[in-house]
Amino acid sequence: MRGIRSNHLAVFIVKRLLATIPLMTLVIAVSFVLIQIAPGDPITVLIGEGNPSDAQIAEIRARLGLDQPIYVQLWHYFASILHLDLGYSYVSSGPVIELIAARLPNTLILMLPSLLIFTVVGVAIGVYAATRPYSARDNAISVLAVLGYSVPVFVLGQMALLFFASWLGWFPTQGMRNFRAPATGLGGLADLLMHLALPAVVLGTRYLAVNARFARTAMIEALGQDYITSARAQGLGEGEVQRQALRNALLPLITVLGMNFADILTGTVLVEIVFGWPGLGRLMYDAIFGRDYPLLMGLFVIVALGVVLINAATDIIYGLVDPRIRNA
Amino acid sequence: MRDFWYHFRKNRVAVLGAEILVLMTLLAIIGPFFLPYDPFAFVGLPMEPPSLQHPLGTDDLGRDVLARFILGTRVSMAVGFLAAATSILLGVSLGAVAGYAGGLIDQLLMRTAEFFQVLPQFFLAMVLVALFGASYAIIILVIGLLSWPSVARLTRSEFLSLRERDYVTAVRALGLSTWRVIFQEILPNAAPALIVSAAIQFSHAILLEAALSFIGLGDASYPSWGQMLNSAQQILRQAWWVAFFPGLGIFLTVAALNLLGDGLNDMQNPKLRAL
Repeated sequence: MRGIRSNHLAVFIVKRLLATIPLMTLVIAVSFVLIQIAPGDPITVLIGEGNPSDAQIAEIRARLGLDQPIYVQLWHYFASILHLDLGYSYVSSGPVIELIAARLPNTLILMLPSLLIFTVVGVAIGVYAATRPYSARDNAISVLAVLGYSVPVFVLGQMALLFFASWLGWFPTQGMRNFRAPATGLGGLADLLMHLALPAVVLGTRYLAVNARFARTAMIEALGQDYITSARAQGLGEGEVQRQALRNALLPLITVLGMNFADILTGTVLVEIVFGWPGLGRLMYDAIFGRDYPLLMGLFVIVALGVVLINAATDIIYGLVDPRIRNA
Repeated sequence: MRDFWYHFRKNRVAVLGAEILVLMTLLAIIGPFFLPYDPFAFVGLPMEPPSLQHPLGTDDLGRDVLARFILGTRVSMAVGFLAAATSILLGVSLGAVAGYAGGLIDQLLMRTAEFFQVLPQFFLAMVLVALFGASYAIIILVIGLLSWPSVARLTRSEFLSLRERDYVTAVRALGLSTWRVIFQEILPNAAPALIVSAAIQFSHAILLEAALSFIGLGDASYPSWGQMLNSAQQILRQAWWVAFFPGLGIFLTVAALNLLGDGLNDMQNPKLRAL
C-alpha cells in the first residue's frame, strides 16, 4: 500500500516536470524569433551596438553560425541555451549568465522575506475581514486593498524613500550595504537589515493587498460551503469551523503565488531601481541604458524559464498537500 | 438603465472612482489647451520648489512641472486607452471566434492564450520595446498584443454559455446570419462583464506604460507620468515635487479605474445588489 502510494506520487511529479518541456521549448523559440525579427541585423542583438570591424563580424557570424540556414541556427540557439550560454554582455563584456547569477541572490534577499512576511499578514487581514462580510470593517479593508494594489511600487518606493529615508533619516536611501563603514558579523547583518527594511516593506504592500483580497474572497466562499453548515449544525465550535474553512480556502494560495511569480519579480526589480539595490533590476536598468541587448534577452529567457519551473513546482507542492489534485 | 443608475449611485466608492476618472479625463482633453508654460521650454531655474510662478515647481532642466504634468495626463491616459482598446478589440474578436466556433479553432486559440499568460509580461514588453524602439506606437502595440488573453478567455466563456440560450437558438432558427447573431444578440448580453474587464485593462495599460517609461523605455517626444518619474529618480532627494505629482496622477487614475471596475463587478452579483 505504502509503496503504491509513493509510486503514484513519483509518477505525478515526473509527469508534471515533463509537461514543462514543451513550454520551455516555446519560450526559447519565442526568444529566437525575437532576435530574428528585430530591426537591423541579429548580430546587433547578439553582440550589442559596438563598432566591430568587418573581420570581427565575419568571425562572430561563423562562430554563431549566422551564415547557415535558419533551422540550423535555431538548433544552435537551443543547444547554446541548454548549455546555459546566453552570450556575452556588450557593456561589461562578461558572459550574460554569470552577470545574472551574480545578481540573483541579492534579488532573492529582497524578494523572499518580504513575500513570506506580507503574504502571511495579508492572509490574516483577509480572513479577519471575512468573519463579518459586507460590514463597515470589511468594506474598509476591501477599499484599502484596492488602493494598495493601485499604487505602482516605484511610486510608493519614491515616496517612502523621500519621507522615511531622506526627511526623517531613519533608513539609508540607497544600496544594500554601507561601504564607507564596512561591518562584518552581526554588525554587517544589522547594516543589511537597515538597508533592506524600506524596500522590503514597499514591495510587501502589494502582497499585503493582493493576498488580503484573495484570502477574503476564498474564506467567504469556503464559509458558505455545505460541509461548514453541517459542521456548525453538529455543534462544532466557531473556532474549529474557521480552522476547517481556512485550510480549504488557503490551498489555492499556493497556485496563486506560483501564477503571480512573474508579477512578484516585476515588483522586485522596480523597487530595486528606486533604492539602488544591486540585484537583477539594477542590472536591467543599466542594460537598458547601455542598449545591452544580449543581457536584456538573457534576462527575459531566464525569467521566462524560471516562471515555467516555479509554476511546475507550485503544482507539485499543491499535489503533495492535496491528494485530490495528484490523483486527478 | 434607470435601474442601473439607482444601484450604481448607492455604491459610493464606485461613484468616487467614476468622478475622479471624469476629472482626469477632462484634464487630459481640455488641460493642454490652457498650459501655463511651454512644457518643453526652460522657463525657470532648475529644481525651483513650488511657488506662485510655478505652482508645482520646475524640473532638473528648469521646465514647468505643472505644464508637463497636464500634458503627461493626456499622454499617459491616451496611451493607456489606445493600448487597452487594442487588447480589447483583439481579445473580444478572438474570444468570440473561439467561443462561437468551438472545436479545433477554440483549442488552438485557448492554448495560445494560455501560453501568452505564462510569459512574464513585463520582461517580454521590456525586451520588445528595447528591440523595436521606444516610440508610442510600439509601446501601445506591445501592451495591446500582450494583454489580450484575459479578455479573450472571458469573452469565450460568456459566448459558450450565451450561445446555448433559447433566444439564440430561436434567432438562429429565424435565419439570422452568424455575424448578426454574434454582434446583435450575444455581444450586447456579454457587455456587462466586458465593461468591467475594460476598466481593468485600462488601468493595467496605464501601469505598464508607466513602468516601462520608469525603467527608461519611454518615448521622449512627449512626457508621460512614467517618464517624469524616470527623470525624477536622479534628483529625488533634491526635488520631491518632480516625483510627487506624476506619482499622484498615476495612483489616482489607476485607483479610480479599479474602484469603478470593482463596483460594476459587485453590481452584477445579484446577491450583493440586494444588500
